[in-house]
Amino acid sequence: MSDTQMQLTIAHLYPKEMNIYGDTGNRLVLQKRAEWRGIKVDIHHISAGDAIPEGVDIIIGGGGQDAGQGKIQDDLQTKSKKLHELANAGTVMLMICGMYQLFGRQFQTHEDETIKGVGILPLETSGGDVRMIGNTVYDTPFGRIVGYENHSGVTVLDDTSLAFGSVVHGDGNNGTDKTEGCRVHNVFGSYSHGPMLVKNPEFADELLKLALERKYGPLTLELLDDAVELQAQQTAAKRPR
Amino acid sequence: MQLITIALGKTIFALLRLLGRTGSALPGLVIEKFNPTFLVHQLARLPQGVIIISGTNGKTTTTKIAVSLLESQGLRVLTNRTGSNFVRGVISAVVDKTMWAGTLPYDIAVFEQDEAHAVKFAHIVKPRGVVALNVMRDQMDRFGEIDTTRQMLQQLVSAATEWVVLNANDERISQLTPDKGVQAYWYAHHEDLQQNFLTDDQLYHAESTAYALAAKPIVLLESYDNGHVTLQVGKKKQHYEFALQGGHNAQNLAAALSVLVAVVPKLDEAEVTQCLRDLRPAFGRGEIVELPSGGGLTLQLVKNPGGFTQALRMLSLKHYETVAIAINDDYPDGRDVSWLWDVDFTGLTGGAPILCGGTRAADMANRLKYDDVKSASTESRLEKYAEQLDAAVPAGTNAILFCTYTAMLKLRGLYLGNHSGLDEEDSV
Repeated sequence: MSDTQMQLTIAHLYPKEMNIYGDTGNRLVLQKRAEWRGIKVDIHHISAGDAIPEGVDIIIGGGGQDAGQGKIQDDLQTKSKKLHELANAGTVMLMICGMYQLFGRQFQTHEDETIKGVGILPLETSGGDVRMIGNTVYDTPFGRIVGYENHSGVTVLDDTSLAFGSVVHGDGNNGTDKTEGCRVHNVFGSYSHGPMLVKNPEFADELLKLALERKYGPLTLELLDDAVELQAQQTAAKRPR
Repeated sequence: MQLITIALGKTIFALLRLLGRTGSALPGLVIEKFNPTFLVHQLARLPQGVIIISGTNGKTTTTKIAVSLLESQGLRVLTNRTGSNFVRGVISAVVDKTMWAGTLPYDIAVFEQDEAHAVKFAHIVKPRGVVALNVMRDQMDRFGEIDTTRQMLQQLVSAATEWVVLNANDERISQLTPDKGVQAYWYAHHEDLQQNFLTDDQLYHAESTAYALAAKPIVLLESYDNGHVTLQVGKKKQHYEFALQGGHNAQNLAAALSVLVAVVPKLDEAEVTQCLRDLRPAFGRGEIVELPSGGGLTLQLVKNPGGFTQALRMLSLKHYETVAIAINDDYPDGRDVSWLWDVDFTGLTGGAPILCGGTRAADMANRLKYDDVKSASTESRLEKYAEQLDAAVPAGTNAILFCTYTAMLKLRGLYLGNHSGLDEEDSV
C-alpha cells in the first residue's frame, strides 16, 4: 500500500426511493471492507434531484417497489448522460433488481406501461406473471455468489455472453436461459439480494479493487478474515429454495 | 346443519385431546370444507359483533390487551389463540367455544389477523370494528411490497360497518378511508416521543423524520418508562402501572384503549387500572421465561426491520447482562434474511458478545460484524443453542433473546416443555 492514504467515493443512488430489500447492506460492506484496510471512504446519498458527485468511484443502486420506480424514472433520465460517461470511463457500478432493470433499455410493466431505462446494459425487461423468488446460487468469474431473488420482471440480454454469471440454483434473469445479471465495462447488474455482497466477499473485494486500480494503478488488497462471511455463504447455499 | 357441524368439530377436538395433541388447525380445516357458512352463522350470534386487529407489528399484544380491557368491563370476549390467525384457526376457536346446543356464550369477538388473512376473513364476516396498527416492510417474500400491504388494509378498513381505529402517526395508515358513516377513532404518540416511533419511510433515509399527526387522537401516548405509562384518554390524563416493556407496547396499549373507548360508552376506570396492572406479556412478546440455570430470559419476537429496531430500544429501559439473537429462515420467519441489514445494531457495540443462533446464525453474526459488534456463537442447531444460552446466563441475572417466529417457538418449547400452548400450524 502506498504511503498516502487511499480514498474512495461511494454514491448510493436513490437510497430512499429504491431500497426495500436490505440492499443498503452492499454500501456498508464496501465501506467497511475498505476502511478495515485503511482506505478512507466518503459516502454520498443521491436522491431524486441530487447531482452525482464529481470523482465518484463506485455507484450502487437497489431494488424498489413499483411506486419507487415511478418516482425516479424521470430523474434517472436527467442523470442518463452522466451515467453513460462514467460507465464508459470504467466507473464501478452495482445495480440490483429494480435498478438493474432500469439500467437496461426499458421495462415494460405487467400493465403494458413502458418505463424507459438508461440503456447502459443491453437488455430489456418485461413484467411477468410468475414471481421468481427464493434462495439463489450463481457461478460467476468471481466465484460462487449466494443470495436471494424476488422479482417478476423477465430480463432478456441482447447477447447472453454479457451475462454476469450462470444460474446454479434459482431463476436468474428470466428463469429459462440460465443467465444471471449482466456486465458491461465495470457496470454490474444482478437480481441478487441477500444483500448481494454480504456473503460474497470475493466479489465485494473485486469491486473495491477495480475502483482503486483506476485511481492508484495495479495493487493487491490486504487479505481479511472472512470466516464468518464464508460460513454464512455455505449455510445459505444449503437452505431450501 | 349448524348442530351437526358443531358436533363434528367438537368430536375432532376430543379425539385430538385424547391423542395428547393441542393443535387447533385441524377442526377448522375440516369444518371449512364441510360447512363453509358455519363461521358467519355462529359469529352473527354475538350481540356486540366482531373486531379485527391487523397491521404489521403489534397485532398479538394489542389483541391481548384489548381482550383483557373489554373483559375488565364485564364483557365476555371470544378471541383466537396466538398465531392461529388463519380463517380456519378462527373456526377452530369458535367450534371449541360453542356449546353442544349451538349457543355461543360471548358478547363480542376480537380476532388478530395478518393483512392477507384479514381481507379473506372480512370477506366472510363483516367486522363491526377494524384496527389498523401500522405498515412496515415485512416478509416481502409473502406479500410482495408494502404498498400491496397497505391496499389490503384499505380493503379491510372498507369492510368495517361501524368504526375503525387508526394510527394517526403512520402516513400509510392515516391515508386509509373507511366507508361513509363509519366512525374513525385515532390514536397517536406525543410529539416528544417522535424519535422512538419512526415510520417505515422515516427509517429509510427519509428527508424528514418530523412528527406527523393526521387527526386529533382519542388516545394520546404521552410518556412511558419501565413499568408505567401516561396517556391522554379522551379528555382525561391517565397514569397506569403497565408491566409490558418498551415503547412499542405502550403504543399497542394506546390502540387497545381506543378499541375500549369505541366499544364501551361509560368506562369503569378502576377496573381498567387494575386490568393493566395485572396484564402480562403475550406469548413470546416480551414474555419472561425462567432458565434452568436460574437466570431470567425475556423472549422478544422480531419479524421485520421496524419491529427489530423498536425492540432494540428495550435495552435502554432495563439492563440485560446477556443479549442473544436467534434467526431462523423457515417459511413463517420469511426465507429472505436480507432485512437484517436494514436494522441498525451499532447500539450493541462495546457490550458483551452476542450469542447468535438459528438456521441463519452465521448471517446474523456476519451482520453484527459489519456494525463492529462481536458475536460469541453461530450455532444453527437450536437444542445446542438453548444449552449454550442457559450456560451463559448466570443465576439471578437478566438476559434477552431477540428471535424470529419459529426460533421463538422452538426455544420456548425447549425451556418450558413442548406442550406450552403451541398451535399445530405454528410448529413448523
